[in-house]
Amino acid sequence: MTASSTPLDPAAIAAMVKAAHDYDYSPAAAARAASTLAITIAALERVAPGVSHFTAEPADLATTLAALAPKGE
Amino acid sequence: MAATQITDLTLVELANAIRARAVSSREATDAVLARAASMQPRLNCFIWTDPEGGRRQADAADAALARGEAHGPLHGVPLAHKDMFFRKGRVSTCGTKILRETRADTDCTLLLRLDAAGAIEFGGLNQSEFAFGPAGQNLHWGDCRNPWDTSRITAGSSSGSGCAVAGRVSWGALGSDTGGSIRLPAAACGVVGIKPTQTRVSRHGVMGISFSTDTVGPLARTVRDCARLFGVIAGHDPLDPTSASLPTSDYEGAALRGAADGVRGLRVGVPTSYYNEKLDPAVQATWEAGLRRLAEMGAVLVDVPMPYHHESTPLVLGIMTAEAVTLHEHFLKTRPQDYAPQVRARIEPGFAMPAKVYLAICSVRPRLIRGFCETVFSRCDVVFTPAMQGQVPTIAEVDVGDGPRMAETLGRISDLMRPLNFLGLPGLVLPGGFDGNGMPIGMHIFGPPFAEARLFRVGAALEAATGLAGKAPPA
Repeated sequence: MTASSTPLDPAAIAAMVKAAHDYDYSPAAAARAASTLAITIAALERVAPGVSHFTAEPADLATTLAALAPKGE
Repeated sequence: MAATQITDLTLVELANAIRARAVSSREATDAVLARAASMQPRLNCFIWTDPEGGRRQADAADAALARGEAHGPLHGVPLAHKDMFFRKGRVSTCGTKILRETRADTDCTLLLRLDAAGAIEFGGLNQSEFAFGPAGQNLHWGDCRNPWDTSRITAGSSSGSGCAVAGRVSWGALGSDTGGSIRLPAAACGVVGIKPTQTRVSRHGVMGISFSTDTVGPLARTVRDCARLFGVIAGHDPLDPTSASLPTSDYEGAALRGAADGVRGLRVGVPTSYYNEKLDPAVQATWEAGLRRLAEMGAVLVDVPMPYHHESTPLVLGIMTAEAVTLHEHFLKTRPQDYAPQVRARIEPGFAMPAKVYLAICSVRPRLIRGFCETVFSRCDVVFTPAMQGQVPTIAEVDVGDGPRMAETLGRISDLMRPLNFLGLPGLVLPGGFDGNGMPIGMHIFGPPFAEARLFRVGAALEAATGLAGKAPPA
């Protein structure tokens, strides 16, 4: 699943959502979901190309932000 | 003091007047309730008011003062808040008809902190349904209208908060910001609003959209007013385990220092990308004027890159839709017709967001935050940008529902705000000037994590230079 792969098929996404979540997408909703997912994956590929998930950090936002706080404020 | 004089006071002025017993809390409450009743048909910023409860609290505040007891920095000050902060047993509509009869089973920590500071709560303010919607529209409760021009949007999702503060029907208000929802109404309504660092302010008892990106903060008429409110609500809350334990700062003191001492020597970042794209000429001119003012005050302007910004919006939407759909799945399946079409359309994509993609974004987020801060804040102390690309649109212009223009229309309003929600950084919006239609143009100052005091200092300096503090819309 990469940004350069075949464009996401809204009908296939609608079928997956129905099977996984028992939720019915309208054709427009399926198209929006396909577009959102494609744009999100493309952005992820740009900021983290080939990131190894074996070395990925945990999503510890509080620790990250606290470490970046200016000292003495 | 006449009622209109009371409602024209800033929050700090009113708190001081009450403490000095020049104005009673009851007089202030009566004045704001009367103005709220008269302005509601024009602005539609309230979902509910509680005149009886407000007066009861005001009388108690006055009685306490007469006994020599002043509870805190907001003693006797009447406030109304976005209708998504819970009190046990009370309905908070969250701007939706779905929750119209749902009573909260917990108390919002921030309301309890405001209570402890002596504030009075007299109303719940309009908002985008479930806080989804940067235009601030609401199909169920009616659109909130901008006090500067009622044909124009307030922006959102804290639409009523921006409107009420600008319209002199509350001295301050809590809002929430998951994609600009405090800062956009502050910009569109010509008031001050701060989105805190992610984890700085408790979210216990606050309606959630996205637990990784939701933040809560105040809107007020001046930087100092906003700093005072922020000082009351900021800080660790044992009931919100995600809230930071770092100590808070003297935010109001920082604002006072900024107004008095200016920003000489401060390094102000000027983005070389993203924030300078697609700007309306009036917004561009106001931004440049703000930069000139900062330079005239002795700030050093520094060009800075804006890494990861073009990616931040899709990435934060990936997080937000996945998290929102987990909260909304039940109602999306059982009451889909009760959502406004645009709100439903913006949540639904979350059903199709794979766990692998969501977790990849969450995993890479800390590294991107670190990279951004190391790149940008090694070169400057704060960054100064416009708040919106364009001028404040009319309600008709943004009335696109869930149609094909939805993404572009909403993006035009909120694109400059979303990166901070992904990066978790604090941002302050304040009035920078006015466009040819007489509408406010908001400016945006942001900084490293937990640098809210720095933002208040710079904001107050800029506010003193522009002379726009507390400027009121036409009567």
